[in-house]
Amino acid sequence: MKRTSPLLLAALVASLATIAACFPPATSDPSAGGLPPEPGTDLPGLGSASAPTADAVIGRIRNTLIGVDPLAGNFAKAIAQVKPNLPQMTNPVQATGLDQIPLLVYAACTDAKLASYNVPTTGTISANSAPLIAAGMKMLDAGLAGVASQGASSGDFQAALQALVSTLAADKATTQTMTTSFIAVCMASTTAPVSMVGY
Amino acid sequence: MLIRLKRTHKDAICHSHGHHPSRRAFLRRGLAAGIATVVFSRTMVEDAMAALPPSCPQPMLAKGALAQIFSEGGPTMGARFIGDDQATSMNATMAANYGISGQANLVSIGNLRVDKTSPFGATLLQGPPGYTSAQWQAVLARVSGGGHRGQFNQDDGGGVDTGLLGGASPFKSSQIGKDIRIANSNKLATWANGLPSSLVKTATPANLAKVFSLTPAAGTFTNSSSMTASADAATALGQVLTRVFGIDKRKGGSEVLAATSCGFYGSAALADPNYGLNLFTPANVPALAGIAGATTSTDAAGKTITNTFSTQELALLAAFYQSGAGVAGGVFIEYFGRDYHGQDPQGVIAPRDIEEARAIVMFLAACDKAQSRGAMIYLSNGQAIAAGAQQTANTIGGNAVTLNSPIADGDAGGSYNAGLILFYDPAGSPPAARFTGKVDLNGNVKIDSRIASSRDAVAGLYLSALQHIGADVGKATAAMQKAGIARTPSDLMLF
Repeated sequence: MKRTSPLLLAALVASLATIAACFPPATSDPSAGGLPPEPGTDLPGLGSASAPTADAVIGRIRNTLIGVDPLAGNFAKAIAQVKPNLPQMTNPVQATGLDQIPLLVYAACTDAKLASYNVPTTGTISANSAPLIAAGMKMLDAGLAGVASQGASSGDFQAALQALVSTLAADKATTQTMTTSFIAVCMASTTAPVSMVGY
Repeated sequence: MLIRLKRTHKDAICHSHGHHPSRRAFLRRGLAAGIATVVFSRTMVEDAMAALPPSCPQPMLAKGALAQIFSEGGPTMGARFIGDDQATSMNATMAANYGISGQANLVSIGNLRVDKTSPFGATLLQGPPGYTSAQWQAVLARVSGGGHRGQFNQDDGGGVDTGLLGGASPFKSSQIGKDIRIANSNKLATWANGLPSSLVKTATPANLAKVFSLTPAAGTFTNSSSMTASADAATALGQVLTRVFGIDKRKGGSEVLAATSCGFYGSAALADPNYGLNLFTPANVPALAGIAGATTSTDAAGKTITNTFSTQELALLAAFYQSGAGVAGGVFIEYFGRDYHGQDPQGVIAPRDIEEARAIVMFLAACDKAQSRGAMIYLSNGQAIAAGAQQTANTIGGNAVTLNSPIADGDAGGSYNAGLILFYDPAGSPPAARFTGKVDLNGNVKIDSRIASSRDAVAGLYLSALQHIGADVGKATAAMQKAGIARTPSDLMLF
């Protein structure tokens, strides 16, 4: 009698897996009780993202950056100018003013102290690449409850910041300083968790 | 179930041509396909999709000015622009109801008429500082107008939130990719919700410059290239966040990401500390510098008269110019306190009519200086019926004049109103636009059956404006239809 080879059995299993993947998992509804779904499982009813309104933007910036105060400094001045143009509604399709968020973040970043993030104020960008990236990760973690450094995508977050610092270090057209570099890192690392998470 | 067939030499022959694969080959391919389907669809394909950068509108200098004045309340709209048909049938009753002096004083601006002795008409005819009367007459000769007339307005604040303010970006391409809103506080047309814009409460060059500047000024903190690099990084971080939080699978998630990211890229221009001031200070705009400091003009007789810009007029001139030159989208102004009935003709009504007419003068001058086509929408949510006109003493740009100002008597939102539009063509061929709605001998109006509401009227005015300046009418039509505007563009548009 001819035996079925292991290759054929593997093919059968793979084909069945393919077919099974076409159907929604029977236990995907968390309200049905039982164990919570595995991370990454598609859940029904994910619904809509939300746009952050003006007050939410200001609050998130304050939570993300060390030592910035919405009632003082450049942050306060920029709030007075920009707040009417920030989103007034959470509907992500109808909200306007998301483009103003980086402008407000910029003002807040100028209030943040490099020393608060252990970033030197002098020296070359290349030599201080590590503290700049660490500062960015710290800001991301503050805005994302630690997801940046502790999640599976930690390397991707770091890579994005590394690319930024490398670009600044290699800028031949404009001489970048530690201050401009810190603010560039700060703007990217704050704008993303403030307005690009969907909430 | 597996069906096994005995292999023969024919199988080997056919297999060599690849027409009939063997069972083993078939299953091997199935295995590969199965693995590819499961593995690649869940990782590489989704990751590749999530890694796509946002699609930002390309900044471009596309000439064409678009603007709107929303006169909130209930002014004597009948004492402003008048169509040829109204002028032809003008009688004493109609003139009194509108608040103008009569047919004898009507003069043409293209296919429109104004009472040359009214605050509104006299202001339009005087023109801006820095122009001779002949130069200004040449500008006015390049104007045409049209409108949706009806009684679909309400008065005394009624209808103020029925979506009478529109928008232009992104249907109209521009360098900064957004509109300028001045004192807009009432609801926008549904289709205009979410369009990118910046708002100032009061129109001054300094206020406009502030919303297009950084605080603190760039200087030692940032520069254009570091901000662009930062925008790149924020976009990359946004793509990681998209994967982590599944934002692209949630309604509006991609829009939020794109709006923030594209706005960030657009902010790079603001790293120039003089960017905003150079845009909105007429003296800093080469095309406007010649008239920015002017304090006189000439009248029809060639006599030099006082004519100075107010701070607001300078701001409007620059904003309209930047719209015309293609730097900004549209410019949308809301004027409050235009509920005229019972108000003093000299102290309230005439100055407000002059203020709005001067804004129109600034728009036309800006189009002239930008050498661009222009379309300005002009409407109100109300209308005051008048009891004739009375002589008043006022100033237009500092020039003392005697006028016949409307005596606004009572609310008449249900009798007459018009959603008007002006077209300007630097080549002197503005479109032959139409007026809809029928005017009776009292000056009252019956709406066109195809323009059932102010919502339709506003949509039609905007489509006409966008068509005239060469903007993306198809995109705007799609947005309006999505928002529930059912009528076809040909029904709604004025030419």
